[in-house]
This record gives sequence, structure tokens and C-alpha cells, in this order.
Amino acid sequence: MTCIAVIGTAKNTGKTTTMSAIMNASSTEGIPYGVTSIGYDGEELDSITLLPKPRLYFREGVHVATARECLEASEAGFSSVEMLPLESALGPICVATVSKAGLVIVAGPTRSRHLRITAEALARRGSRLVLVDGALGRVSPASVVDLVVLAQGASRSRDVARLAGECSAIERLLALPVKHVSMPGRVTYRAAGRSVSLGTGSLMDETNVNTLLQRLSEGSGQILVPNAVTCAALSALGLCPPGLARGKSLVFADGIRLLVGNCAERSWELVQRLFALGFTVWVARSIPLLAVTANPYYPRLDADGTYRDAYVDKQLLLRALREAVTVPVIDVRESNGRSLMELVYKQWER
Amino acid sequence: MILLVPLDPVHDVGLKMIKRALEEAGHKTVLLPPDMTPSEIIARAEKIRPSHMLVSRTLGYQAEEVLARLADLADAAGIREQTRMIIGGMAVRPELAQELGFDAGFGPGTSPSEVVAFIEGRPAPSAECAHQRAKKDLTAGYTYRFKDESVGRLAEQLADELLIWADERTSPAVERAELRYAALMEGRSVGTDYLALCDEVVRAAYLTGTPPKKTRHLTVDEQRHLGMLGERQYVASRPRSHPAPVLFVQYGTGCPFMDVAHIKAAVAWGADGVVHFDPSWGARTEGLLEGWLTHEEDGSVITPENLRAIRQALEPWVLWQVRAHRGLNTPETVVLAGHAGADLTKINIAYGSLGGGTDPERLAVDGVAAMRWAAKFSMPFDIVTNEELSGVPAGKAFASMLVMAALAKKVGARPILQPLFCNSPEVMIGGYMSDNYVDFNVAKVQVLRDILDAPVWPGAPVGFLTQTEDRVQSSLMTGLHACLAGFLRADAVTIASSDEAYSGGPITAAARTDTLTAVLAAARFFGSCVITPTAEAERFKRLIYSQICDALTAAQKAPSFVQALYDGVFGSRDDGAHPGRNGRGTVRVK
Repeated sequence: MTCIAVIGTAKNTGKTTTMSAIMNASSTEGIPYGVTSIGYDGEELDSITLLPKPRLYFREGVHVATARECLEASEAGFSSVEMLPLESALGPICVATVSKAGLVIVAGPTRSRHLRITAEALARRGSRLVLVDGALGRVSPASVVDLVVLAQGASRSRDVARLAGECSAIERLLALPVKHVSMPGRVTYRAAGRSVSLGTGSLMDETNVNTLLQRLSEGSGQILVPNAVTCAALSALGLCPPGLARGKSLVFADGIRLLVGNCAERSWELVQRLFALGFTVWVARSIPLLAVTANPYYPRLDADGTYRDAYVDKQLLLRALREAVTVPVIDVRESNGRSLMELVYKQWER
Repeated sequence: MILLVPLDPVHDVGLKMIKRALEEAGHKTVLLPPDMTPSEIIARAEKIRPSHMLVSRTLGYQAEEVLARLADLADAAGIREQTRMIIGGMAVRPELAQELGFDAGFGPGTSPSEVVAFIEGRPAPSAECAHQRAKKDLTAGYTYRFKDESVGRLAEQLADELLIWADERTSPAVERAELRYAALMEGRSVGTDYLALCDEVVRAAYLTGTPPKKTRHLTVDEQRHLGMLGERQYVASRPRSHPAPVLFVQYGTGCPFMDVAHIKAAVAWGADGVVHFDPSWGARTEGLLEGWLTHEEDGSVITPENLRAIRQALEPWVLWQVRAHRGLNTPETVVLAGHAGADLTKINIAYGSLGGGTDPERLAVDGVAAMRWAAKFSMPFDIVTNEELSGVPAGKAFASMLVMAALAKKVGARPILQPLFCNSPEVMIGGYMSDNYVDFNVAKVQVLRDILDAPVWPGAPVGFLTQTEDRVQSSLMTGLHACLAGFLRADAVTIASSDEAYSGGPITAAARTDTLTAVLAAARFFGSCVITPTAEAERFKRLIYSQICDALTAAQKAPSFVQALYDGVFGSRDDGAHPGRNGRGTVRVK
């Protein structure tokens, strides 16, 4: 089973449209697949802008993981409903197979561990692909998936150069070299010749980074960071004396953890500073970026207090993103998802 | 340990209330300052290791992103397994909590006790209420004893005489009710014997399958969707911050599908019960139809299938009234309502014949039979006095209402007195509401309470002829009248929509929710305050009481109760009452 998450930089960047394209292509290709969401897919109107939202249409035979309440309220019909031992804000999460095609409200696991359990349950049903729809700019649960597709759109910013810069940073953070290490539960480093734990799993702010830096001894060694790392922490690490940094390996769990603060450009800039100081920066697990989808749409707040559909120049956006990243940039509204499927095939060939 | 996070620097009062409730329940809490960043909050959570993190925030486009980042960071930091994340604030719904990545979401109107219950893993008090809520018996605890013996004696004598008179007679409606009951019990359609007692239009509908004008059968697909609407749309009861009377709203869009939608909207906005309105032509036509029928004008056709569909869509605790009070199908309507599981019906011989267009003799026979059916189904009914709207003085309407109550008691039924809260022609001409809308309505309820120990349900709807085409004014009037009923400890109250009197067409669901919101807001405003009427209320009581005594005395002197109706004792042509002609000459002596 290959688990693919469609993550976005913000709301309305095209995640669900991208999901629909991959679902269509998977159905056309006859690949058995399952679908879930780390948020809530099913509103007809956006709760803030009151503009229409895309919906997920499920064909017969597709597997889905969603809250029980959502199954009951969906247009599609279901068979073999199995309840997972996972709770959501909308009740227990179920896995089911679509027996009658239609729209489905998808509201699945919102956290990493739950997503892993859910993806495994969908795989047990025979899903060769498990597709995970993101929510807003949330990315953390994607740390348990195999591949990510990034939905970038003008809803994040009308500044095309900024969108391109952010995509580039995300690609680079997800492409950090892999060092196969066993991750401990806590931040661990070597001091005075032995392995020491910091007492926390994350590097959150300058306080715990300073504690770490005070205890580090010079010379080679690994610093293993199993959980989150914020820009504030990266910034504090950047104040490490070069002598202390030199020869040290900083190993983060995966690239997703470096995206969690939703400030990828800043994170990448800070990681580059760490390199410059003499650190080598790694991730323990690779989660490759498969492609970027571009969406020129954004909801514009007009003077009368009403949101209306608006667009940046699509060609300009596509060109800027294509110049910024090495992976394919796809206009999902124009594509039927076939190009994304070809990228999946290439991954499978590897 | 519970971590309280006011992400919103201004609107953190809810969180402070919850903090107090949690501490009173023995939980330890930490309230963070309002200006912390998501990473600072998660850093604190890593140290404190709370079991729950409660975040309050008013939502806007940017706020969603901040909240999402907080949930994301908590997940990436690995604390989600030990800390459940809860979001509360304006515009928060469970769907939004899910989208933001939280474990639960609480919106406006949430009580601190609901949050404490969630944290302690107990069912929320309001949800518990909705599921376990029992239907209220509006008649519970009433003895139906006449506290005023002289009025009671007169009313009971008239009831006895009417009962003897009616038992010697029958009508097509009485016979149809028996045939309908047998058909329902055997699960079949009615037969030719039934059709022989119907008007041609009804007979044709049965024999040719052609429904009457302006009606059509629902398609199979529409029937299926109607069933799904009922099954899938469970509406929780709206929690009340302050007590208000049991609230009824009226529906009768013509289309069962729209009826269910209106009922669900009304219930979601705080209605406790709903009243079925049928088309006015149904009251003038001998015989009731069968099948899933939709009507293109106001009023939803009474058929076994339509009633069953609506019944199935009702939440188990919602009270349901099907009116039978005024037409040529009164006893049969009670049979259909009772069989479909209605909780209440509506019967009044005097109103039906003086303001509803049915012949007094006919409705007297039918009304008695209808009361017997209501007793058989243990279905209380209100005795509506809408003849007041034609100009009949309140006291005269009450006199016949009290005879009906005495009659109902004799056949084992449980009546509910339904005085109007209205600016009626009598009131306008007499200037009884020139100062306020309180005194006369207070007098009405108090007079009835002094005479008979019975439930009181002002209606229907309250505030009639005080409302204008202005929806705000209309809603406010409704809210205040409902609160007056509450102050008088009325057992229930029926309210209109904000465009009911002036809509000139279909009533919108939004207009229904207007008045429900107004009633609950007004109830919140008054709380347990007392509304003090002026001294005029006492004068009105004396006036109404003397009208009651005069009418009952005159009726006793009349050859019969039915003749008293023809003679204008309970409302004359001068008053504005006109004995109806529908069904005249159809009563026969057994």
C-alpha cells in the first residue's frame, strides 16, 4: 500500500480538487484505493467565505474512512462498515466500502497515529493506494504517509513570487538527506561520551535549545529530534558557536516536522544557516514530494463585506512555480489526474 | 490538569466560566495569558502534560489558520495522545473542530457543565436531555374539578343534556370514523360502504385514482427521500437557559416534504411541539383521502400515509397535534391522528359551528363522537376559542368552552383550555387593550383558573392581531405574549411565524425561527420576574365572568345546547358569529 497525502499551504489552495483528480485517475486505471481526510470534506459552502466548496464523489467499490455520523449523512451507500477504535470530533471513525456511488462526507483521523491505523485498515480492504485529503495548512499527520502532493494556491498569497519561494522551500525541506537511525522518544545527543536525553521530544523554543547547547560537548555526534521543531528553535540553534556545531549531525524525524509551523521559507533559511555553521542536517525518514498542483483561485473580500471568487494570472503562477521546483507542477483543473498517476507509477517502479 | 488557552485576547469570559465550573468539580486548571504563540502554548503543554487543552477563540479567516497550526504543532510534538484538544467560541461547530484538527468543538450556548461533562467522559447534559427527554403530558396533575360550583353546575347540566341528545343521533362522519378505524386496524383501504358516505370529489379520487384539484401523488422517489429526510436529520433540542412554556408552532405547507423540513427547523430553534394544518377545503368535504398527497396551496392533506410520514420524521420527544376541530371529518380525523400516533388533537363544537362554517347540529354530533375517540386513544385535545376573532366576546366563548370541558370529562377525555391572547374585535371596540396587552389576557387566564382546575394553553397563535407586517415587531410581540403565558404558568403556548399574519403566501422557515428566537430571548430577559397587571385586570375578570354566567344561564333556558348555538347564546350574528351551513341536514336519529 502506498499512502499519499494532499497537503496545502492554506485553505482553498486546491487540496480537494487534487484529491478528486487522483481519485478519478485511480478509478479509470482500475487501481483499488481508499480515501480519508484529516479534516472535514463535505461542506457545500465555506464556513467563513460562504463560497461553494468542491465535494468528493465516490464510485462504487472505493473504500473510505470517515466518522460514523458522516456515513449516515452521505449520499452514497455503504457496505461492510467496520468501526475503528478511534474517536473524532464527529464521533467514532469507520471504514466502509461504497456500494452505491455518490457524494461522501469525509472526516477521518486528525492526528498522526490515528492516520496510520486508518491507512492500515484501508489497506486491509485491498486498497493499493490510500489517499489522504489535508485540511487548511495542517501537515503534521502527513508524517506517517509515503508521498505528498502539495496544493499551492493564491488563497495562500496573491504574491506569486512568495508562493514560488514557499514551494521551493517545502521541496527542499522534504528532500533533506536521509540518515537511517532509530529515533528515540526524546531529543537525544552525545555529551561527555555518552548518550543523553533532553527530557522533551521536541525543540519548541529557545529555552530548550539553549539547555541543549549548554550541555553539548565539542566534536562529532548526533542530535536526534523525534518530534516537532519550530522556527524559534531553529533560530536558536543558529546561534550555536561554530566550534560546537562542526561535525554534529542534526537528525529530524522527517521533513514534515519542519513544515509544521507553516513558515517553510523561514525554516529553510534557518536550516541553511545550520549547514553554514557546520551542522549536517538529516531526516530519519524520507517523505518525497510527488508534485505540486497550482490553483490561481482565491476568495476576495470585497468592500461590501462579501467574499467573491477571484484569480491571479494562471500562466504567471504556473511559470513561477515551475521555475521554483524540480517536481512537476500541475494545473489540476485542466488535468484529469492522469499525470499524477504516472508519477505514482514511477514511484512504484523504484 | 486542564490547560485553558484564551487565544482571543478579548473574548475569554467563557473560558473563565468554564475554569470556575471545572474547579468546582474538583479539576486542577492552568489559565494561560492571552497573547502566547502556538509554539509557546505547546511548549507549556509539554511541561504541564494536561489531560485536556481548552482553547477559546472567535473565528475569522486568519483565526482558523492559527488554530490549525496549534493542532498541527500539538500533533507534531507528540502530545495528542495524552492531551485532548477542545475548541470553543462563536461560530464553532463539531465540523469546524474536525477541520481544525481538534477532538471536540463547542459553540455558542454551550454551558460550562457540558464542557465539564465532556472532560469527565459523561454524556453532555443537553444531549442527555434530548435523548432521554420525555414528552410532556400537558394534562398531568389536573383534576378537572369545577372550583366555581355554580358555573360548574350549569356547564355539567348542559353537557349531560348534549351527551344524551348526541347519543341518539349519528352522521356520515360518525359512521365513516367507525369504518376508517376498522380499515386501519385491518391494514387495508376503506371500502365502498365508506365511499357511499363521501362527497363526489373524494369518491372519484378513490375510484379513478385522480386526486382532487391542486393536489398530486408524491412520486416513489419523493416518498423515498421523504423517508430519508426523517431518518437522517436528527435534530437535538435547543437547550434553554431559562424556562419558557412548552412551545408549539404550526406547519402545513401543503407538501409533506416541506412540512418535515419546517418541523426540523422549528425544533432545532426551540419548538417543543408542532400543529398540523390541513387545507380549508378538507373541512368542507365529506370524507378523507388516502395516499401520499402534496397540495400546491397552504394546508397539508390529512391522509394515513401523509400523517405516518410526518410522524416518522418527528424526534421522539416532539409533541404533535393534528387538528380536528372545525369540519365535516372531525371524528375521523381524530381516528387517523390517534392511529398515526399524534399526542394531541383539537375539538370545539362551538367554534367549529360559529366560526368554522359547520352546521351546529352536525358538529355537535360529530364533536361528541370525536371526544369519545380522543378518550379511546388517550389523546388530550385543546378546546380552541377562535370565534373570538370573529367578534364573539371572550366570556361567551369561554362559556361554551367550559361546557365542552365538562363534556370531555364525562366521556373520559382530557381537555385543555385554549383562550386566545389576541387583540380581538371585542377588545378593539371596548378599548380593553388601549393601554397594554397584558391586563385583558391575564384576566382571561385567571378567570378560567378560578373556575376549573384544567390545563391552559394560550393560542393559537398568541398575539393575534397585535402583529404587523414588520418581522421584528411581529417577533417581539410573539416573544412578549409567550412570556406573559409563562408568567401565568400556562402549560403550553402556540406561536406564529413572524410573517404568518401578513405573508400572503408560503411561510418561510426563517420567519418561523424569528419568533422562536424571540420567545427564548424574551424568556431569558424576564427570567423569574413577575409581570404585574394594572387594576384593570380585575375589572376585566368581572366582565368576562359575568359574560360566562349570562351565556350559561341563557343556554340552560334554551331548548337544547344545539339550539343555543343557533340562537346566538355563545356568539350572535351581531357579535360576528354565524352558524355554519356545511353538513346541514345530514344528522339522523338512530
